[in-house]
Amino acid sequence: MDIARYIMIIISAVFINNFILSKFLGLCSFIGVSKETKPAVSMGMAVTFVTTMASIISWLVYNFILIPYKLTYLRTITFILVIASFVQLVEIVIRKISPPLFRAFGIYLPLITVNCAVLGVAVLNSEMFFANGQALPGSFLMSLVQGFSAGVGYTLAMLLMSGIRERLDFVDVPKSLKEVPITFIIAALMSLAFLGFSGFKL
Amino acid sequence: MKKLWAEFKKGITIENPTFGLVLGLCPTLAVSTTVNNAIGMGIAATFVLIGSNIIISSLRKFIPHEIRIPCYIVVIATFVTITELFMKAYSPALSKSLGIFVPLIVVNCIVLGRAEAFASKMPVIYSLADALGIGMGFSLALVLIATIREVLGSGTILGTPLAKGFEPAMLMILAPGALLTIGLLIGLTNWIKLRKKG
Amino acid sequence: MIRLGIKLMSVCFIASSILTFTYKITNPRIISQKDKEEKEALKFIYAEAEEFKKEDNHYLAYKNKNHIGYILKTSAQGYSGLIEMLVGFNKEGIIQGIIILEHRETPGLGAKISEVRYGEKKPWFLEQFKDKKASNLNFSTINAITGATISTRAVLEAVRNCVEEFLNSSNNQTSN
Repeated sequence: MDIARYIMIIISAVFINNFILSKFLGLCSFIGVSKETKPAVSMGMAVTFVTTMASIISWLVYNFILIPYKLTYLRTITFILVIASFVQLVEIVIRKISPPLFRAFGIYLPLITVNCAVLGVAVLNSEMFFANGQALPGSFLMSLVQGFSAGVGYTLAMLLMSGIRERLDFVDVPKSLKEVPITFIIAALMSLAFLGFSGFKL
Repeated sequence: MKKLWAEFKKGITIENPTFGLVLGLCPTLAVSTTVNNAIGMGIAATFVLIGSNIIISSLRKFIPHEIRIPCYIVVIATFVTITELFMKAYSPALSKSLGIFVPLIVVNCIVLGRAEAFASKMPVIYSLADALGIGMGFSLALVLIATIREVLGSGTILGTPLAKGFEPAMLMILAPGALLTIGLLIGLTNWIKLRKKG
Repeated sequence: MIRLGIKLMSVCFIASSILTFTYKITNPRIISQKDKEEKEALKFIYAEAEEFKKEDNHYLAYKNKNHIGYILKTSAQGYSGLIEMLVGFNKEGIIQGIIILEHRETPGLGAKISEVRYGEKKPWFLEQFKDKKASNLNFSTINAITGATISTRAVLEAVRNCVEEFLNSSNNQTSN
C-alpha cells in the first residue's frame, strides 16, 4: 500500500482542490447555510457522512453492476438514484433511532441529495480511479478516502466562512453588497489563500 | 400570448437564476473560464430544462405527490444522460472541457427547482415558456461572466486575442476570479434594484 | 405503498429504455470519434509515418512497410496532478512529436504546456522537443515556460526518461 498516495489524495481534496473553494462543488449550500457556525458545522458533518457513504456505494454499484453489464452510460441516473435513496433511508433511520440527532442533522439531509459535492465526488471517483473499464488497484480505498476528505474540505470551508460571517454582522457593509455578494467576495479571498497550497508535493 | 411572454421574460430578468435567485452556481463558476464553454453549458442546461419541464408538466396529473421528487430526478437524469451521450458523439472536445459538469446538471438546483416550483403546477405550454426563459437567463448570465473572465484573464474572446501588449490578470481565470466576478455582479444587480426603488 | 413502488419502477423502466435506445444510436459515433481522435493524434505526433500498429502498451510506426519508430504513452507528476502524454520517437531516440492527452495544470501558467498560440497550429512548447535527441533534453535545449518550471521539468524529464528506458530495454532484448 502506497501511503504517500493516500496522504496526497487527502491533502489534495482538503486543501489544494478544496471542493468548494476551487472546484465550486456544493457552492449553493455553502452560501445558504454559512451564516452561523453551529448549523454550518452540522451541515458539514452531515455532508461528510454522505460523501463518504456515497463514495462507497457508488463504487460498489459501478464496479459490480454497471461495468460488468456494460451499462456505464447509466452512471449519472444510477448514482443520483442510489444517493437519493440512501439519504432518504438515513433520514428514516435516524428519525426512528435518535430524535436528538435528527433534530441536529435531519433538516440538512434533504438538501444534501441535490448537493453537487455528493454526486460530484461519486462521478469524480468513477473517472479518476477507473481506467479502460477496470478498477485501478486500490481504487476502493482511494474512493473512500477521497469521499471522506472531500467532506472534510467542505466542513473546513464552511467553518471558516461561518466564523467570518458571524463577525460580519458588526461591520458596515455597503447596502448593495450585503449578504450574498459580500459572501462571494470573502470566498474569493479565501480561495486566493487556498491557492497557496497548490504545487504542494510529498 | 401576453402571459407566455411574461413567463419567458421573467426568467431573464427578475427571476434570473444566477443573479436573481442565486441558484445553480457550481457550473456557472466552474465552466465560465472561456466563452466557448459557457455557450456549450448554456445550451446543454437549456435543453435539459426544456425537456424535463415539458415531460414533468405533461405528467403532472399522473405522478403521485409522495414520490414526485424521485420521479423528477429520474426524468432530469434521463435528459442529462441524453445530452451527455450526444455531446460525446457530436462534440467530443466540448464534452472534454466541460468534464464532470455535464453529469452534474442533474443536481443543478435550477432544473429541479423549476420542476417543483413551476412545471408540476402549470400547463405544458407555460412550462415550456418558463424553461426557455430560465434557460436563456442562465445562458446569458454564464456568457456574461465568461466574457469578463476570458477578457481579463486570458486577454482573448472566443480564443481570439484582443489587444497586443495587454498582460492578462491570470487570477481571473482561476477560482478566486470566478467568485469575485459573481460577487460583484450580484452586488451590481442589487445596486440597480435599490436605485430603482428610490 | 406498493402502488407507489410500481409507479416509480415503471418511471425508471421507461427512463432506462429511452437511455438504452439513445445509447444504441450514439455509441457507434462515440467509438468512431474516439478512433478518429486517436488516429489524428498518432499522425500528429509522427507525421512521417504512414501506418501504426498497436502492440501491448505502445504503437509501432511504419513507413513503406519499414518499422521506423515508436509512440509511447507516459505520464508525469505535474504541478497539480498527472500529466498524460503520447511521445513519438524514432529508433535513434530522436523525438518526432508529443501530444498532451490530459493535465490539470494551472490555467495561464502550467497549462501552457499544451497552449497553441493564436494563428499557429501546434503547441509552441512541445514543438521545441521536435528533432532533438531524447538524451540531450535539458533546460539549455528547451526553453522553460515562464512561471511554470515544475510543469516544464515534469514534461521534460518524463519524455527523456521514458524514451531512454524504452530504447535501453528493447536493445537489451535484441542483444539477448
